[in-house]
Amino acid sequence: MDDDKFALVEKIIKDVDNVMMKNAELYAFDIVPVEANFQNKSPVLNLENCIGLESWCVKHVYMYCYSELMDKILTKPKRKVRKLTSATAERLTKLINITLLINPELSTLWNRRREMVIRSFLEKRSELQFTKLVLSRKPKCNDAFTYRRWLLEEILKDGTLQINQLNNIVNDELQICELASDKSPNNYHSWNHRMWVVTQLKTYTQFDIDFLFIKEYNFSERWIAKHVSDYSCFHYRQFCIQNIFSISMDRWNTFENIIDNSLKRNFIKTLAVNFPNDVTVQASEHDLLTYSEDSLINLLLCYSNKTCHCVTNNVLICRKLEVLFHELLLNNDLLRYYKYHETMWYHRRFIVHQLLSIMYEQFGVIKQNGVLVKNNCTKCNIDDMRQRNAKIVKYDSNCIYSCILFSVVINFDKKFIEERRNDGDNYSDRHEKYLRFAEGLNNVI
Amino acid sequence: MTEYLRMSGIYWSVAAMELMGQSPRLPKDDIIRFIKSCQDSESGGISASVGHDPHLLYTLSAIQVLAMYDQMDVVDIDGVIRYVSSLQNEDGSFYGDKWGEVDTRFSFCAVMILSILNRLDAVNISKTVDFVLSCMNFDGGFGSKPGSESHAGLIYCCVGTLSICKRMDALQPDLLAWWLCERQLPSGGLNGRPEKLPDLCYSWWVLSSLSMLNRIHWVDKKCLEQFILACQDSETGGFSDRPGDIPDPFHTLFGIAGLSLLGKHQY
Repeated sequence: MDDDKFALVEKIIKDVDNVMMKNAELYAFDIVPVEANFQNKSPVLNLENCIGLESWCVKHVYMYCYSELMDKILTKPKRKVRKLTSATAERLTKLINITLLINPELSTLWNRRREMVIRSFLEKRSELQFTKLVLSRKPKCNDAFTYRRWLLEEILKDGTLQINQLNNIVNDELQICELASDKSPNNYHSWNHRMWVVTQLKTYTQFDIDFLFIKEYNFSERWIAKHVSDYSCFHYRQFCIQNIFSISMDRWNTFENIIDNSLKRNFIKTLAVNFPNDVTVQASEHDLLTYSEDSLINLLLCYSNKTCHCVTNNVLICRKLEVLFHELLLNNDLLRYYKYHETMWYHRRFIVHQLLSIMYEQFGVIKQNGVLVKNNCTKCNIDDMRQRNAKIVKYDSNCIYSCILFSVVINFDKKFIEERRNDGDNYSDRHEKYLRFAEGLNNVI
Repeated sequence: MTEYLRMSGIYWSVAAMELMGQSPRLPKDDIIRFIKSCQDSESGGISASVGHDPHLLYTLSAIQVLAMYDQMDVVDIDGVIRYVSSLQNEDGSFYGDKWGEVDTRFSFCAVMILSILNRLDAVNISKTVDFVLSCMNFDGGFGSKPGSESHAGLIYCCVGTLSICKRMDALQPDLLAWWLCERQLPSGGLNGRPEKLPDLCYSWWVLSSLSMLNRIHWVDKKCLEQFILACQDSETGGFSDRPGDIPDPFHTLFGIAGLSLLGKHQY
């Protein structure tokens, strides 16, 4: 490179740094396609809270910064690097900023940032801002998400963190995940990051985790309805559903108010419509509504293979069923409206699997490699060696498959498969095969 | 622009050439000298290139290349083993490097390195297995962490880890193979997750997982073979992710590896 180019690149480095220093609220970076330097202006663009670099200069800038980083700083023996002065740290930061904006896959440069954070040359909050800039252009950049997790762990270590500060951090994270998930469908890393954030907070006693679970459940319901071929968000939805199972009973009203849906009423409506014809007990929707959770569950799941006498929490089981039936109805609507999407059928597998698992657990059995075997009670942990893994005899499995809830689930699903098949959705046949052979229901469908 | 993954680039190229019986055409001595210069004497780990930080990903690539060349002693083997075992956590998971990101990819890298070096005793295998199993989903698949979405690349890593640790019995083979063979699309190609585009590299991740599960015949081999061949660039000979795209060493290796699993040797 000749001296002119050196000077130009140095000016670009300075311009980028100026924009970044001046504006703490920058949220987007991109490379703007401009073929050549026609106008003899700086290729660093700054409009509101966005920064851009004209494409013609990218190669020069990258090579220049990367070479200087490698030659002068990174390949030196470690002892010398450790003697970083604030002047070299400043130069290093400018070069690393621009290099990572162009190529955020350079893990080694992210590591140098970590070292500079530890030694207080870089500030954690502004580092979060920088990764936001990187993610605005590369929403799938795992290194940027990894770095954020590292920064957040460092920040959360600080015991003096106020609850409102924590709330702000959480909101920022969720917002960044939302942006990245929106820009890049099936974004494995942004959804993973979102799950990490929520999971981290489970250990914070002062944080209202139940409320976050409810908010995220609500958010995911809106999101899946708008992204029907994005299985990553459906997977997140499954995470949210399982979290809802764990909210405390006294928050259930809050939950129902927020989602604006009477889950129980809808559950009972679906039950009544799909009640098997051949049972002696006949119950109308009106009757069922008067049932307590205990009597409802006893009616639906009137069999147990358990050897212990643990009392099951029928209210909890009932609520799980309400949530899962709501999910089934939602899945019906989405599949009817958007048609022929593997993603939504896969989500249905999850719902059916959860429903079956609840029944199996209630019955004291578990599915292993497609076969039902006796299971130990998850509550009392009595390890009955004679019972464990013993195969279920025909009589017991008949009892399981003839309980009312099982019939309702199968009736409901069979009707839906039939309806979709008539509409030309080939995934419906695949779903039926899955239930028969993967869920092992071949003899009972 | 690609120096940050050079070591893996070398592995993809050497492995592809090795499969075709053409590895003498690569500069073996230069490659070995390069690998030697990438080992960090302090931690024992190996980096993607000189001046970069050591990482399990590149340590595995380096060890795989040295194994193919039968030149293991050019690096400090004890250092490598020390590095791998230093990255295992209490729960059996592995960090990718000292900065502490956990991923099932790193579990695979760790046991693969140690099995090549015949030193699986250097880490806690039963905990390694426990962690991998904690990443299993209801569909029989695996993700990068406990609770993460099933992903064909990560399924390969987890099934591979269990295979090396001789714990294939812990899988749900039929359920997992069911999910894996649903990755095949009408074009014959395989994707890595539902409703994604096919990508040649999944010919390897999916097919080798099915092969470890003894269920490779669950995919339409003929159709897949046609897809793989369509990914070859007629000018350069390399393979790309999908027909018509620009070829690269990564997809070239996995195209050839896929064909070899299909039992195709005649090309």
